Amino acid sequence: MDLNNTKAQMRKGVLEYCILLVIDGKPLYASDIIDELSRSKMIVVEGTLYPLLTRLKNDGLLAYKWEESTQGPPRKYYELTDEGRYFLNEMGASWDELVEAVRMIKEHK
Amino acid sequence: MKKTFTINISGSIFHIDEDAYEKLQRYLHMLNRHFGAAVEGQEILQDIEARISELFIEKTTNKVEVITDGMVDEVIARMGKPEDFMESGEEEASAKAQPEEALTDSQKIRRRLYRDGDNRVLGGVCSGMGAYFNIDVVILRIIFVIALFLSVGVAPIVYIVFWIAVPKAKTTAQRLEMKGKEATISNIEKTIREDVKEVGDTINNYKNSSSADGSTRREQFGDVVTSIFRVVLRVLVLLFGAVLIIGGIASLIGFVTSIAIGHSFMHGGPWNFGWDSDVNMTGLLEHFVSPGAYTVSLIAISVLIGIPILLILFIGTKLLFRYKTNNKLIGLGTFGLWLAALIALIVVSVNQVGNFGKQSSQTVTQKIDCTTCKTLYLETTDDLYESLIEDHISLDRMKIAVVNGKEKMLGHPRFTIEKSSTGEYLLLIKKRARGNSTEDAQKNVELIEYNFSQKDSTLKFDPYYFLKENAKWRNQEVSMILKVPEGKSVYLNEKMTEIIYDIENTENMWDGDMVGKIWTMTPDGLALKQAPVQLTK
Repeated sequence: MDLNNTKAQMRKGVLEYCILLVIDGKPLYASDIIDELSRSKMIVVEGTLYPLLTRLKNDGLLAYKWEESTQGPPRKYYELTDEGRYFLNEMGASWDELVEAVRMIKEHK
Repeated sequence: MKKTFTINISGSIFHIDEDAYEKLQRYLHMLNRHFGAAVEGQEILQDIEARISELFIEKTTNKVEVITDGMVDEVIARMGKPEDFMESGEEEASAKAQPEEALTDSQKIRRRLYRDGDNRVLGGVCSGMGAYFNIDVVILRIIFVIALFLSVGVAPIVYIVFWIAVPKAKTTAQRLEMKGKEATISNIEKTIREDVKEVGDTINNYKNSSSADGSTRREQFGDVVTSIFRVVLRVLVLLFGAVLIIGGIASLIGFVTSIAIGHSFMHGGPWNFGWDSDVNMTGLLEHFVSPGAYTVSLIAISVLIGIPILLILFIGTKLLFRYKTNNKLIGLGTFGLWLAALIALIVVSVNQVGNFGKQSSQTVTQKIDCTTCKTLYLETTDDLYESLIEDHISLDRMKIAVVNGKEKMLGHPRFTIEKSSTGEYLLLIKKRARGNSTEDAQKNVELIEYNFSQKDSTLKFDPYYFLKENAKWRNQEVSMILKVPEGKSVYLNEKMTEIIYDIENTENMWDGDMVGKIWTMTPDGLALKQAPVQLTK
């Protein structure tokens, strides 16, 4: 079994949740999200983020607005929609359950 | 010293050196192919370009003005290649299933013909063709619409053939192939030239290797032969494909014309040019096939001839465009349809042949009332139909003439002269026809119309017998025997050549030479009257 592949699969599973988590609260633009995710080593290459952002937006979980920038062209700022917030809550709950489940199994040994 | 370009990425201007430019272009190209031409893919690409632009801005602020190869490498490493993106979803999954080099080594992919579902109007055939030939789709569509009007319905058929035969580009890899390395004429030429060059090289190798031992020489000779053979084969395959396509389309046009023009609603359309005959295959069938069987046989013939033509067209396009086909079901179905048509046609034919199984005849004997006259003058009425007859069609002895837009079946009767056993002129008119029973044959006999008239000593024959309207052709024939008593004479007018048939005479003269003369019945048979007669008529 390929360890790297398994790791990537696990990361992939929670990546969407993390993106929603990062954006929650204040509008962010792609580079901010990348900084956040790179710092926590959630993504390896930045190209991964863009298809996900577009898909979350098309699924109605995210919305964006254009904002002028002091350097360079206008930027896309993403924020959560109501549906996105609901989704985030649900995913959060299920994430907590998962973590709890893993913790319990580990302690039970 | 390096050449630099000025480029615009997502609204910002950059200077970039040549190597870096090419690398960046390849990278963006790869991303473009990966994400596809759909709205979503384009949006992703724009976002990525915006990010690349931002990274370049960061890098070029501190004194360095020109983007270099290394900087592009850094950016690519940071953004990642398509295969590094962690993605889910069916499309990406199937794209991943394709060999990885298909994505990275796009330059080497042979182009294949696909239907382009992203830019389709109907089945995406035109847009796929456009991608294949590097032609603007709009131009192809205009050509197609024009062809729609000029090709007697062939264009839609060809379109449907492509629609069925050519697969739709579904995965990223297929879309890559669709726009892969060009396979246009110039490119085909290029590959052939490369092959030819290879042949030249192997021949040179062969020549230069004179010092080598015999076995390598033989091997190299084998190389020369195989590479020559390969070039010849490739050229032949391409030529063969082209010939098949041209032949297929031509026969399709001919065939559809023959089938379709027959229907009245097709008459007078812009597609009806250059077709000078008013009688066609469907019209012809109508004359001897019974109505129920007519439709069946027409459809069966269409399928029987149409499918092989389409097959030829299909093989031709496959040889030229090298697209993949995956539809065994359609192939089997088509073959089944063809067999069914063949069986249907055989059944119908056997049935129709039955319509000719029995013969019946009817002979009417008429006394020619001319006791006083010594000579009977025989002539025919004017031939009104000669110019109306379709010369290229004949059903045994009968022909088809088009009179006021209606088709009429007619034929020359056969006229001969024999000795009368009584002292009177007698005319025997024998009408014959076939049918599936004697009664039916008799009915068909009664559909024959034939007229002659007598005025004093002159007999005027119609040059044709006709079939009544809607009568089917059942081998109807009319023959006449004029019985001439001994000592009496007949004069054959020049016009009689049309109908006289094998009149026995003592001179052994051919029918054609017998006209314009007076013939007297003698105990030995019909004899030429020696003294030339001045006609006072």
